[in-house]
Amino acid sequence: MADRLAIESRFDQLRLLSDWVGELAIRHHCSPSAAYRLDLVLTEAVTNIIEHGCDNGRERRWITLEFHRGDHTIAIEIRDNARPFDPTSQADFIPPDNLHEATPDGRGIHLIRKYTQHMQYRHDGECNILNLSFESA
Amino acid sequence: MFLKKELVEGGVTLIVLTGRFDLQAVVEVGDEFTAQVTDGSGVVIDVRGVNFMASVAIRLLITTAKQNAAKGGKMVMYGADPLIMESLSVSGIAKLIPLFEDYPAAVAAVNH
Repeated sequence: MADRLAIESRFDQLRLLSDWVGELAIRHHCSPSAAYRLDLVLTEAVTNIIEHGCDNGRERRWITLEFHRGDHTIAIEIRDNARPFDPTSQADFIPPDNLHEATPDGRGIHLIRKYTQHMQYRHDGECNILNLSFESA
Repeated sequence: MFLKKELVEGGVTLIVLTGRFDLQAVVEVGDEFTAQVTDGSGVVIDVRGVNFMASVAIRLLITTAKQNAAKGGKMVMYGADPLIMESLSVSGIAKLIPLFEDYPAAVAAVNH
């Protein structure tokens, strides 16, 4: 059975997300490393949706998350009704060599890529659907 | 998130951060943090009490480190939790804002 969270697509909802992740980690006996990874990946993904999906013209924007814990994996499905945005199509982030060349943006999707084994995006005509998974150890 | 500022010897600014460093923290303390660390001085950030760091926090750190460097200052950090250290490493921060294990090493690097 999946654990599910539905939130409004607003920055002030991020604390609901982190509270939910904390409860999941305890209930599913996640290791500290897996709990941190889950928290970081979901925070980055949801922040990205809120930041980049704000011009879809819809009155009510929502995000839903479903958590599945397998024997050795954690899988999450994130759905939102913001404008179509495929994070998997974004160019790879290249870490700069020095502060002068550094740009502040681009690390959110990079962190998601680095902290997951599987990242798949599709749009079903109504909403964005992002599936993420990683080892639970 | 809590932010505390201390002035230590040699004109170095010590900023102690405690709590979750995410978007809400950036909204809460971002302006104060920026004002405290961008005057061109040596800045040491104590992150021993930080238990989570999102990319928006990394964005703030890089933006302010660049502003401070443009005025001749230098920013370093110390005391990151291993899980945070890993995400900072993945983000390529170590080359931009040097990370140290403890306070003496961080202060020595700023005064160098």
